[in-house]
Amino acid sequence: MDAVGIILSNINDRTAPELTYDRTLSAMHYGGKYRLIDFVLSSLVNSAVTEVAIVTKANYHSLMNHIGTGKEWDLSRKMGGIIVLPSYVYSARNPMYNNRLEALMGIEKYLFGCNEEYVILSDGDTVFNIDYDQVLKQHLQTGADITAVYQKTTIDDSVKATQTVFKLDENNRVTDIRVFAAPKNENVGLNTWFMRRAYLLNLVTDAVAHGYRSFTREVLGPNIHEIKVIGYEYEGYFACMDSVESYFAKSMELLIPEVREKLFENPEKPIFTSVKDSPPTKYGDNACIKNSIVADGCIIEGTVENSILFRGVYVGKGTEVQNSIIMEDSICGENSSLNYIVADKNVILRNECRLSGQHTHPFYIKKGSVV
Amino acid sequence: MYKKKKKWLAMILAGGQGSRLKALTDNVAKPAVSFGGKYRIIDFTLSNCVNSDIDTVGVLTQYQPLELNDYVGNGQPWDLDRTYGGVRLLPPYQGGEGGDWYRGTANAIYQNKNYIDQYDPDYILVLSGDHIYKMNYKIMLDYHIEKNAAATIAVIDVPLSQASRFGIMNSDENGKIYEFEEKPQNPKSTQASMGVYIFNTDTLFRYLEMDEQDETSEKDFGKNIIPLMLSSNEALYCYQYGGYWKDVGTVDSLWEANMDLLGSRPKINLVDPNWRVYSRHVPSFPQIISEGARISNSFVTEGCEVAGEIYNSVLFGGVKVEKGAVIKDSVIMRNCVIKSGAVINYTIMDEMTVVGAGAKVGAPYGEGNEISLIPRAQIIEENAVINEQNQLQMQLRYE
Repeated sequence: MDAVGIILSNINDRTAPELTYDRTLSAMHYGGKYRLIDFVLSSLVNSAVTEVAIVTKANYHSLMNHIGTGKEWDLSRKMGGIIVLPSYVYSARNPMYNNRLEALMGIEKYLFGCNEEYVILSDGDTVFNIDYDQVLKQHLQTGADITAVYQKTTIDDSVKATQTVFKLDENNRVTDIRVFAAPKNENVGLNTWFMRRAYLLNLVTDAVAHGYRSFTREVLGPNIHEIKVIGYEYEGYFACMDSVESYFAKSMELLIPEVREKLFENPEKPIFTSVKDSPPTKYGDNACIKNSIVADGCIIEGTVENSILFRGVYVGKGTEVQNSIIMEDSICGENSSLNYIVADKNVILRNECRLSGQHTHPFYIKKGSVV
Repeated sequence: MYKKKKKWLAMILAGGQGSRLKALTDNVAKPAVSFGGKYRIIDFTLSNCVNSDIDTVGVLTQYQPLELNDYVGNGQPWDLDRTYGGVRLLPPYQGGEGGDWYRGTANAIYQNKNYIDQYDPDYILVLSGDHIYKMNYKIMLDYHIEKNAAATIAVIDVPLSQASRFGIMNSDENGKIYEFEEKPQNPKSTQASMGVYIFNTDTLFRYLEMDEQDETSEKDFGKNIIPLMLSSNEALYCYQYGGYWKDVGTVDSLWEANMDLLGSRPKINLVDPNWRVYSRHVPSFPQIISEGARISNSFVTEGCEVAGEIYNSVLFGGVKVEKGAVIKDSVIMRNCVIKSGAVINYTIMDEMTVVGAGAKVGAPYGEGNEISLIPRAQIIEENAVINEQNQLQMQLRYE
């Protein structure tokens, strides 16, 4: 596809301080083996986008570690491929960006230097599996200036801060844009915008000239009747998360077969992620496991129920893990009982641990903690 | 073209048909046969090379190379996609003179003299692509250099009762080999050759040249080159290896090697951060274990969906086991589907087979029963009973 993908990786970090303590939200672990950025990257790659820029800001060590050379997404290319654009990449004089528009101003030179006709703007922390070819198709049919991806859904309290809500007319043209909308049935934007590269460059140059700070509220909002923004309805599974509570709730939705089917089971559109070369998971003689997602490299001697285990997790004898998310390489000792726990990476829970959260308030254990 | 000189390189013999693996090698060469949930047999040798800091590896292919070629590819999964060196697939080719099929293991190396010369290595490591083991060849090379040997052959202790199935090395107390016997009736020692050789490059090619002139030779390392070197009084040493090693040349030994992964103290441990075994990855969702599943002492891989019961078995990626199905003492390869109520006992099932509801495959392990082998992409009807007799018919239908 004749488009360059721009992924903003830090844009929603401030909303989930626990999860983004030492990573960007885009690098958050999800679904047993993935990180949030895998979804937008895989969607781009599966739509034959071969040039992708990831705009970072801070705290991006684990993101860069995960991306590596981009091989896993077939983006280790001589022509195009993946490029990471930290802030200050073009100028040390510009201030550190705080929003979408400033981030785009910072990479103006990169955008100018691309050869692609179109730009796809996306956030790195959206869980979806979208076919951008369909977006392009609709973009050409409608003759839109900007195509904005949305879904008719209910936004719950926990994620409203990151979401944009559209009002649409009968032709799907956006007539109003709001953020911080009250939770109800709405056309929720996926922060995914499709337009000509030249058009975006014009918008950015104009915004710099006017001293605007916000893409949605200052550039699009007031000019919504001049700029032809057309909505593209995405009908697949979509999730975004900006707190431990919404992270837990959205992760647990993966235990529903229909959700997995929508997100993962299109053989044409697999979700790629980094390869860890873990051996298969080993179940001991007394392992007991029900309704759970288990990644490779685990050793399970105990009981696991309604849970998600990431790669390399150990569950000791006599331990019961229920309704919990245990991330990479964490160790659950023997004779413990864990209920509604979100254990981040490399956590060690020693023998005889009794920990419990509540289904609306899971108990979060920081990366590398020893309990 | 610029080539870096290498201290050593590895040549992996991967052209064998492996006819004793029966239907498993109908479409693939033996080194590409699946093993251990997510591996192919050749992963072990390739990973050994990388973990021993060998960065130049030739893979000699001949029989059914398509899938093996695809699998090895540019060597990226093993970190062998290098600018200088890396992995090369070396099929036989037509040359001005003598270009031909590989006529034996020694001839295969001989025909690739040009490839080896590019890197001008001091030592050549000759390996087989069809053994399961984790071995640090670097220690063996140190031993080879320390002994000032012309060739070093890795050996492993086997039970005396089995020694007559192997090539047996008889050596003195310093490890110097004075006699080699291929599959002896009355073995004098229990030191079996593992098919792992280190040669000084110049010496090796001197003997390969000599062997080429001999028209009666079978052009085989064990049968010809090693005896020829011994009779010429070259310093051949054996290197005692103490770890796990298995030739998975038969259906039974392949099954045993898979079972060796299981148990609380497995004979070969794959959960070893210091010695990872690398493999080519298939993107798939983690495994999903549903309500009603029962899994005990088993290996289960990404992409599996399990709702049935699994005991003492190895499941490859993408296997679906429906509710009420029971799998015991079996190896189920990639993307098989086991429908509800089916019972599978003591079986190796190749990829993409569908077992209908209520079908019975194989006879329980023990009690003197033979292992059952189900070839690739079969459809086993509902309530069918597959035993030794009709297994044969199935293979015919498949052909």
